[in-house]
Amino acid sequence: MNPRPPPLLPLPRAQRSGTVAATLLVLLVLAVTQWRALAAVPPSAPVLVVNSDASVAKYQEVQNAFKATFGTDGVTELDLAKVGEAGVRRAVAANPGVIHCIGANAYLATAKHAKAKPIILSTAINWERFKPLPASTRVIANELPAGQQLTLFRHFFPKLQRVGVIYNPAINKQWFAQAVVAGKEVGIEVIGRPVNRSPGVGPALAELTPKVDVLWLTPDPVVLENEAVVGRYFTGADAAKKPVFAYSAAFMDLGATLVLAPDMPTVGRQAAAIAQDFAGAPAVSAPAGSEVTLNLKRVQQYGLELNREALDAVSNLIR
Amino acid sequence: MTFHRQLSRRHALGALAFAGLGAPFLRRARAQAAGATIHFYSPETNINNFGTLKGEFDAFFAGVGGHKFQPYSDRAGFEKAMESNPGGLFLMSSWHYPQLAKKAAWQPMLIGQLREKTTQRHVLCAKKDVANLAALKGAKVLAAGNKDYILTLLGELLGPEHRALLAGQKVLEVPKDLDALMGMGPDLGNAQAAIVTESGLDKLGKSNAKQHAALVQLAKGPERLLPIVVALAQPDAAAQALLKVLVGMGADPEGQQRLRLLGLDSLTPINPAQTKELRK
Repeated sequence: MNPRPPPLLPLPRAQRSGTVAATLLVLLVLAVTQWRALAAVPPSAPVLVVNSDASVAKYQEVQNAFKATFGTDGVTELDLAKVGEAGVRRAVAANPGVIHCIGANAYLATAKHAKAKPIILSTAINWERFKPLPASTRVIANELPAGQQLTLFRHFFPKLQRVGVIYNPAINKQWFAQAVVAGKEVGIEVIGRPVNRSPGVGPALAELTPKVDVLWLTPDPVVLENEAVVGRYFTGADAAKKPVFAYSAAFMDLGATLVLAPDMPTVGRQAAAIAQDFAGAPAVSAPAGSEVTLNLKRVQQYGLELNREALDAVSNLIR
Repeated sequence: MTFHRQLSRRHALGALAFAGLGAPFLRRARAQAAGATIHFYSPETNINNFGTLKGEFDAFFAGVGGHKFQPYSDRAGFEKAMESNPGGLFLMSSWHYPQLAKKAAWQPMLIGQLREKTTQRHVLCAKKDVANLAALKGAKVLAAGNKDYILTLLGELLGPEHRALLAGQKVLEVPKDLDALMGMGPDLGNAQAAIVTESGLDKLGKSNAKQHAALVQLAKGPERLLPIVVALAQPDAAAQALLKVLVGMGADPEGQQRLRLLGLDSLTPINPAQTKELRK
């Protein structure tokens, strides 16, 4: 039996070269294996998509665009309405790299289990109610910035001069101040009436309506406290022959003339871009695309002068 | 008996003659009554307005021959329709047409017109603090259209000198030019640059002069033909009738309103030089 040399002593030359060759071979095999493994890994860490309710068309549009952009490799999709919070908890426990929450319910059900995991929140009305948000959260707001809306107002209606808005100062004071500045930049005077409680909406509307060309309905919880208040808002505007510009196509049935809403597929693409570069994304992004719904009958009814060149920006035209 | 036999032979011959000569006329007349279909696909926007386009064009066509408008959200579906509906008309991007596998079979017939021009040019705009093209390395670029189309435009706009930048560019597809331009605004801050048509940039100038003034044009692309209508070399009577309707739409307020949804003022017969350019 040949005793093995002590490990710290140099090996004989022939044995040494054989060991080096073997080591190189092992390294090569390891490198190839590693390369193949990396090649099989999706470009980003696994992603969990939690949809508040997949039967809601706009949520599904966001989810579809997200998958079309990001790809489906490494993506797990959950419908909160079907799997409940327990299903979300199990999926979060599987340790996804990024979680995309579509809608407020998805965020509420996920955030409490996700701890410091990266979360993208999209398609939630008034995201600011979730403040303070953890540093590991990125938001795509569901509201088009006031400046963008006012630019589109001007684009569609070049003669528009005064826009009236009723708002709750406790929530929207800063938003209103920004809207006034943005309005000046496009030649539109934004006139506001602060209202603290919903019974004040009717009198404020009656006082404001004669002074403006258009009423601008924003997602303000006081103005939209209940269906009756919203109903009276539209009835009052119509009685005064004043058009209403709103933020959701749901108001078209109530008589809105123009609706500017975020374009859902664009939100999905934005979320995919954030998932691909989470660290480089800002804490809050505005929706980058708009969806325009225009009621031509009401445009004529209220005698608004429409820029016909703007029609190529319309997604839904109602006659 | 002989008379009857002669009569029935005469009837049979008449029926045969009718079947041989009259039926094609009847078929054509029926096709004309049913109208033709114009199929539409554009890689140049992301506006989800297919329901509106169909409803608006079909309503207009109902009074002028019962033609139909069929939009497509995807290129594959549109190209499949070209294979299976050889009698139809196809409204498509002049960027897409040269890429058709069987483009020789499809004859350009009409071309879009906007502000009395049949071409459009794209520009690469950026925030004023972006000094030049090289400074766009790794920047987020917004544009309307599908990714292939946007990357083609971006490659042209960057030019050979800066083409290497294409690899690191983050492109976000948005519905329309104004979205791309507003995406560089102070509120959004989504992007450092945008690719838009000159007419889109002009629209921003009219609506928001301050935002327009905050942008700089880094590059201008080549003039590109506006969308075209193609058909088989010998369109049938229904397709010819629809071509006539399409040419007349620009002069009709109701017709022009429909064309405006596509970003056009009118459709006009294409000239040989434009056809030659498309077939390069």
